[in-house]
Amino acid sequence: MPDTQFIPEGVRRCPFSQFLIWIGFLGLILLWGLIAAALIWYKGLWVTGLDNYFGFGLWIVFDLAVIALGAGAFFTGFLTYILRIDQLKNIINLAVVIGFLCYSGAMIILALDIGQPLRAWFGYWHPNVHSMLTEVIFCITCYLIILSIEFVPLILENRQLKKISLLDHLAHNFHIYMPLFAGVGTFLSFFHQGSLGGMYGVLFGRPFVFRDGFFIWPWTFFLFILSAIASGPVFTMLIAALIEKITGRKLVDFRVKALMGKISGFLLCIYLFFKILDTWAWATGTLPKMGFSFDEMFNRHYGQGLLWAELGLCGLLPALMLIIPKVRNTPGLLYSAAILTCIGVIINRFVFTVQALAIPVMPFDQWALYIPTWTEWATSLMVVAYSALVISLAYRYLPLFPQEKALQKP
Amino acid sequence: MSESMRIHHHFEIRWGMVIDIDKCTGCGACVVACQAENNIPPNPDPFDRMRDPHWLIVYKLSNHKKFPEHDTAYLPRPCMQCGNPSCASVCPVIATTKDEEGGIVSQIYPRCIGCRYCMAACPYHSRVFNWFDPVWPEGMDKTLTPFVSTRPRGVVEKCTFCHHRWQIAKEEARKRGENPMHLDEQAYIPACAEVCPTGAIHFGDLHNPEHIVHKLARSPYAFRILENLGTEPQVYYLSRRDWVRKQGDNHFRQEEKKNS
Amino acid sequence: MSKKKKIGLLPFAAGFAAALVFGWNIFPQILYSNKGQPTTFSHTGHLNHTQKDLQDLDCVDCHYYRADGSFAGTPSLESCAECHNEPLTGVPSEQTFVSEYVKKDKQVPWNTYQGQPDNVYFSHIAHDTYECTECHQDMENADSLPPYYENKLTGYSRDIMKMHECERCHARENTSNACYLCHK
Repeated sequence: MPDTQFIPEGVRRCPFSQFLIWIGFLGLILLWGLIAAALIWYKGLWVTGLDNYFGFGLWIVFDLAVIALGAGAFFTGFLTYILRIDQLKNIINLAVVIGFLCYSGAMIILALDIGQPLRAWFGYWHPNVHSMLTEVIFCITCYLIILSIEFVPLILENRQLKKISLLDHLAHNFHIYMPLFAGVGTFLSFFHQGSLGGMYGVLFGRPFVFRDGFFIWPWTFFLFILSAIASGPVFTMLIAALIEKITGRKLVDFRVKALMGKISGFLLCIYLFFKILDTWAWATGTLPKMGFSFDEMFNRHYGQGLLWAELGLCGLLPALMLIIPKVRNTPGLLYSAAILTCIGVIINRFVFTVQALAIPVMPFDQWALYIPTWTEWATSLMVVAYSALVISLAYRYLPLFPQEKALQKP
Repeated sequence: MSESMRIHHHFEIRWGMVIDIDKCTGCGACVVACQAENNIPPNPDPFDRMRDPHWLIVYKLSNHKKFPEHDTAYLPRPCMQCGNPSCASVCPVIATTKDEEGGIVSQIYPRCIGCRYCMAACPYHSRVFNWFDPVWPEGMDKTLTPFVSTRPRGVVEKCTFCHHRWQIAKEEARKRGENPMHLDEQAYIPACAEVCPTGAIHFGDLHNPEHIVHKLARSPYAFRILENLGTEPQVYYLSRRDWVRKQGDNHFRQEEKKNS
Repeated sequence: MSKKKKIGLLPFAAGFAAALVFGWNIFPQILYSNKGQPTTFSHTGHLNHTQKDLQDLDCVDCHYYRADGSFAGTPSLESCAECHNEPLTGVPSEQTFVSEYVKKDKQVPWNTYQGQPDNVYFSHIAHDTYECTECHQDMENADSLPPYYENKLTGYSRDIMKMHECERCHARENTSNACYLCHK
């Protein structure tokens, strides 16, 4: 193989030609997305499915979903470096890479979503301290920097780069300070995960998402943190399982995965307890106070099925599956529960973004329907392809899984 | 809504509109006047109502009854210039504020980054996004209002109660040596109110007893849209028809009472 | 401090000086182009005529408020032509002005030193209690027009009033700094 000297020692990778075919396939998706992105920047946002009723659409759902699922990075970092759960060292590298991809991907999408991308820096230069979105802008950029810093030492672990003594020392020093970065990352993440929920909770003109709260923080602030840290670990674990499936090699000990499932399961239980309480208080208290009934919040496109799926099928069911050791320790059931958990969080972000805007608030207004166009799908898929590309490169050339060598020995 | 979210303003002047729905014929002259006055470009696809660039639109209300009880009404909807705006506090870049005397909610186009969070916040759909590059048919660009700036693609805009007309009225008052903060009722009128053929749209200072809106807003037939939400609009509506007033807000409790 | 250390500082001092020269001298030359004005104009020549038979003008004869309170700014060709329908003096620039603009009925495309962007509103009459020279260059004793520098990136004049300058004065005078006071 022409790239043998770059591949980590003692592991086997697929032939270079096969790798190139895979990269080429990802490149095609990237190209398709880039064409869509160019079209959007050149022609304007009317080529998307967004309109005056749906200022937010697939992109914001995608951003919120990946940021929630990317919470695996900060929370696993927190558990590994601060709470010192040593077992998680075997998956922390992957968690950092996924976190980096989720946040950088969200940034790419935001550059498409805002009407004046060249003015994006106004968020820092002219911040409105009363806006939850300002807090999100500051925290996600700061946290992306932290994730980049966490990613760098992994890159420096490459076999060829390691030979350069300066880089080797640099990587070592980075490792020493990692608990500090993990701590800062945890702080930043807690706040912007919350602010993303707060963004919706403060909208007192939108009965579907408006919530009372604690001082300036609506309850959604805390619910979004909880749902993110509940789904982040299982998402990281799922990606690890997916890489194992594609490469056909054992990379992470199943006990580590089950532990991630256990962590998620307990957090999911806590989240659902409060989420169900919140939903009940909203349906019986907040809504009537605003003059609405529970039934008015749903129609045939955005039905109650979504709510029951979110809370039941993709909430209580996986939560139970993950906290029962016997179920959790069966690979197939663990993965199923993990997939359901992730879907549940995506549904939550979807209804808060899209359904909230579809509901008529003025009594003489009508329900609206949002259908994304191919440009939105293509650019979202572009970010997925970009992530797959970076993970593929990282898997091939970096020691992403510390356990890999040990697990290959019979 | 929690008390911490309310922003209390006190202004000497509170510009307000009182729209008499019983007088509105739904002719749409106000929409056209608004478009011409505020340099709103024509919609490239007039059938695409979801990307309508208009600042003022007219809703058709129905009492949903069969003939002969059937009745309709028309409701022109400008920006409500809420006393407690849901849009201003959410803007991440301070592009929209309610901080000026008169209480008109400002929208600064060169500051707006086009994130559309304010549109998600506004329950009245008063805010529109500039989906298209503004293009006027040849020759029509000569008719643009010099007192209103044109907006590029990718920013949010909304009704300003023809704020520039207030600026002009203040200059005239100063020239005459009068107090610019105590204008005559006729000195400052938005384009929609000026053009309305039936005189359905009244405009003035809600705090000034010399202005008719002061009296009309206190009428037993006056109501505001979605008062339950706590937005405290500066736009009032008048109707002697019960069903019209009832459609001004959502009434969960009343219905419950009626059913039980 | 040892001699060696002093020499070590030299590159930094040189770099600092070079950066200052670049920032204060070279960069403005790159950013702004001197456009000048389409024709010459002497304020002193109009305020104190050298020829005895011509009436001296006052500032407000040309820079006046219109009936509606708006400010006329730079006078229009019609204002100039009230006196300069035919050349009044032997000054060659006046003769060119009459033949190039008045006779051809062509407005002079003056460059406005403080022309604000389209989204800015400014009322002169609201600032009537202040001296013009608080914001504008004193032209009373100027025999020629100052150079007009245009920002090559934005197309605006270099000497435009900046938003922070407006805000600073409004804050000092305890006047509102609301966005809509100055934006349209």
